[in-house]
Amino acid sequence: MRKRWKKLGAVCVATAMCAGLLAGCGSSESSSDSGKKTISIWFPAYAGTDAEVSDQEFWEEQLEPLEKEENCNFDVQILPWSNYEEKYLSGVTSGNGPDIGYMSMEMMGDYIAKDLLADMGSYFNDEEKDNYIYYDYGTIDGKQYALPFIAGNARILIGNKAILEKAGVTQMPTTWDELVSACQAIQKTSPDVKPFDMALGGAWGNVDENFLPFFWSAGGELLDEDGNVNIDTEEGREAMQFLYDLRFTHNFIDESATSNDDARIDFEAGKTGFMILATSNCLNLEGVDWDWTTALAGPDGEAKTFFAADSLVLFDKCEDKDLAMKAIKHLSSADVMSEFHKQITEQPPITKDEEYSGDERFKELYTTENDNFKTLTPFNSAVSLLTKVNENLQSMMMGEMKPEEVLKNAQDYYNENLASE
Amino acid sequence: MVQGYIYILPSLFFMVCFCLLPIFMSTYFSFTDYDIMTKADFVGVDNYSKIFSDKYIIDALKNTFVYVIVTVPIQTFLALVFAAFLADRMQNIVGNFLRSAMFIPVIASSVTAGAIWRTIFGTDGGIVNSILGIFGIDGLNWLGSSKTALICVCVVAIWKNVGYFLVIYYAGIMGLSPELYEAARVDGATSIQQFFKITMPMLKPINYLVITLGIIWSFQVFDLSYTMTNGGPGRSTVTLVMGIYNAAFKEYRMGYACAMAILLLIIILIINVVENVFFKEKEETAR
Repeated sequence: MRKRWKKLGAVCVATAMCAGLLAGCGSSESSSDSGKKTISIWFPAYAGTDAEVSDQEFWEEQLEPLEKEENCNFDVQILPWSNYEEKYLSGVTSGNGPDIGYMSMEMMGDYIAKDLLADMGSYFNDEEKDNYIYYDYGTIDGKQYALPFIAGNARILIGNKAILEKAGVTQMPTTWDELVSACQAIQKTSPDVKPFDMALGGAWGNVDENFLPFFWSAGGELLDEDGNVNIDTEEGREAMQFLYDLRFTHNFIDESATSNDDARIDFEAGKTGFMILATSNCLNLEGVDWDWTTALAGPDGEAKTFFAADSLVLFDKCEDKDLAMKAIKHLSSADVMSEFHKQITEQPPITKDEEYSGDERFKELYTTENDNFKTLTPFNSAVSLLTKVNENLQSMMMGEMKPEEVLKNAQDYYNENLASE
Repeated sequence: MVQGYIYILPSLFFMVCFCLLPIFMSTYFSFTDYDIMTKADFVGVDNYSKIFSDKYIIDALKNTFVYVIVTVPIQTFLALVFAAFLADRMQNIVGNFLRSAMFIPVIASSVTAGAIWRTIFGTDGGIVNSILGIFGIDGLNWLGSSKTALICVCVVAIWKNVGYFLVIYYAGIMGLSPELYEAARVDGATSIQQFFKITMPMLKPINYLVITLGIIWSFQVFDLSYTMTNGGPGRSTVTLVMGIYNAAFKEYRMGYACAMAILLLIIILIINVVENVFFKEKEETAR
């Protein structure tokens, strides 16, 4: 009797283990569920931990009217920012990717190169195109692969007013030379303060503050006229030399920058004179009175800074592109976006029919045409190239790489391993 | 007999699906140019020949070897010494508590551990530099310098692993016959002599296990390096597994990543074979 129970127990355990294994092999939700079409949408997380409404709740509420109107389902998934690109890659390559996605310009190039994204151009009439302020940022190789959705978050130069006043700096610098002079003044009057700080210890995304504004202001371009990556230019080397000099010639940047992944902390504590920061992060600074300027002009007078143009994209595998485009237009409409900017994250409007509701300090920045703004043109393996640039920049700031090697090294790596044939 | 096979069938299925099959698939893809999104093209041994001329991977290999050479001996030694001490002097409630406390880092999430130690090693206001400051010593840029960043990662790895190996050694020491120690004491052997003449030789099989596991885990290091320094500053803490991860999921070079993974497998196999031969020789010499 006992033996029989043992056998039965063994069979039950074995069955339970098999069932557990096979449960993980279940197929994903079908795109048609009881006759209703389902469109999947992946968004990043924007709402803060103390927000009244979560990203998930917000988007589901905004899509509800369209769901009723079109008798469909929108399956919204919110992805955290950590390993965002890897999650997209896993999803798309396993066949479980979204119909509508949210991508940065850096991410997009590889998906465009693999023909995974659809051209949305034919779905917009001229009036609609004109209404989208940043429509042209999403036109790549003559096709509309992206619709800029969260545009703005420009990287601006901010200065601690108290430190600047003590140093006798009455105006924010607007050129590289003025920055050097202001930092020298800070060094004399506040020796315990870091004249300039950079968060060099972070991931590749920090190049938006640490590299691109200087690179572009020196006249550098990531791509040449033929659309090939070409960063190892005289202008690029000039920018690297300027950053090198900030660190080693003038000693404006402390050695701790290479382990720092958030320069805001010291800025808020009054330990930093200047830093470059995204406008959305500036609005969260506490306990410090700051001034700002959009961009620093380089040696040839060009003043450029990074401007984000994160976009909605339509995946080619989407079975009902008409419905997906209705969702994209609805999500990017003035009604939805103004609620998004009020409830979730303060960002500038993306359509002309939306009123600016953000911080007054940046109203002019985002409501008038601005020649200082520059965004990335998507290209193959952009994230990997910028990762190499970030690594080499860290090495340079530790004194282990010469300025002229930073971009050459990254360019050589790209040409040998990442450039498409 | 059939029932026995039925009973092990789920585990066998699991092992085939999640261990053997991925090895075979990785081996196949290592001979292809595969970017995950499109079909794989056969390229022969191109991926393997590229590894040895890729200075980024050479840097990662060097970092990994340094990590293994620093971490494995220290964690093995510390685990053995602590276990011997606890077994000899602390067989009481305090000893039990210490054993449990030292096991906590083992079960702590690597992500959490990495984040906490990042704060501890912080240049401005970090605990280590604050303590050094009390003694009038200038703090270092622990995680921002290529000279110290990898050592910091090793320190955290040792902190995290010692508890696990301590438990294994403790169990081994407690299994040794107390009569051996009694006899040694009667003959006038000191504690240290007992440790080296009795404990160490008797723990050979456990040493083999601890060192083998330590080497395998150390070659597979990724999480601590990723969370503490993200491979930086520069490339001073990039490990081979990070190189594999970056090649596969950031650069979409899955074929190349598979070649590196197979190389890692071969390296670990060679080291374990050498270790096996070394331990067997020692055993035969002892007989």
